[in-house]
Amino acid sequence: MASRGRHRARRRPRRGWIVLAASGLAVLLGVPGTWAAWTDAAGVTGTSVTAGTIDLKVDNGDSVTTSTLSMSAMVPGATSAQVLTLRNAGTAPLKWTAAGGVSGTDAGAYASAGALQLRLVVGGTRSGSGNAATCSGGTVLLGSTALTASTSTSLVSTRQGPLAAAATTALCVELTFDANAPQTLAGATAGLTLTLTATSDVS
Amino acid sequence: MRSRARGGHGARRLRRVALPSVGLLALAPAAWAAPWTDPASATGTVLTAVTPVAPTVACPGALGIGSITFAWPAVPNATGYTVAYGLGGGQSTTVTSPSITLTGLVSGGRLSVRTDYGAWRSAPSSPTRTYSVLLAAVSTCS
Repeated sequence: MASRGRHRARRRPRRGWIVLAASGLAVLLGVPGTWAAWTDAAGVTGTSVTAGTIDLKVDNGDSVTTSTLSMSAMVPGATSAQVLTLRNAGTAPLKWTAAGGVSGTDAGAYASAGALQLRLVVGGTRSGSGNAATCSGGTVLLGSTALTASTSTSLVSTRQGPLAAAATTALCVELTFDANAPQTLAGATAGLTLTLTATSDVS
Repeated sequence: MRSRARGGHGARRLRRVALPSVGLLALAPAAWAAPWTDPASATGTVLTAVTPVAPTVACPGALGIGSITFAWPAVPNATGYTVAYGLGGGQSTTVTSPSITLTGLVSGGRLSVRTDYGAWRSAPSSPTRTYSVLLAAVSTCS
């Protein structure tokens, strides 16, 4: 029995050393090192960034009132025409689309009869006068299209251009009172609104 | 057969990948692509269709021997005139100027005029004129 007790006494210190060593190793591994990498920076300055602008003008205005296209006492087959100048008063290129229609008390009657038709000609010129004026030359952008009773109806949805900053383009607008319009429209009145919308998307 | 089998698996695989991708795209914000816009408008155009007006045909017109001429004031915006004449106004002709001369050995009838505006036409002139054209005698109108 005594010899057994001696053996036990010898083993206990060895186990203690192992526990101590393991604890030390754990402490060494667990504590993060405090170190720092060297860094170096070189600055680039002097760059200024300015956002571009798009500003579409029609005859040098944002909202133009014109009576050139007006027709009083229209007879079937009557036409009127006017050249509008589109200008990019901004600093970035733009493209544009067109929308429009008729408004007023009798707009619905004109629209349901398809009696008022619009034609757009890029680069066209006005020929003739009064209720017989038409657009000639240029490139037809929109063939004769009956106007609806909504002034926001899309007429040209494909973006046109691009129109560079300060550049201009002529757009001839031609209105026709259909030759086969019903006589129920006698004395009827409507107004025309044409809206050209510029977009910065020149893709 | 083999290629078909492979194609079928491929399609299934594509569907498995594509459907979640579509879902992700739907969730993606669209604002990043919104371009700037700037409208400019043209207004002020007023369009009024004509109101047809019948001409006023006076009587006696110009009475002659073997002829009678009717003339009336031109109607604004008229593109022409349609004249009904003869027995009971059964004959018709169109003129571009505001007058008409009827001739004949012995004839007569009723006359009325409508104003033409392209395809549109006014009501007949009122009152309707009754006339006679006599050979070797002065015509009459009432």
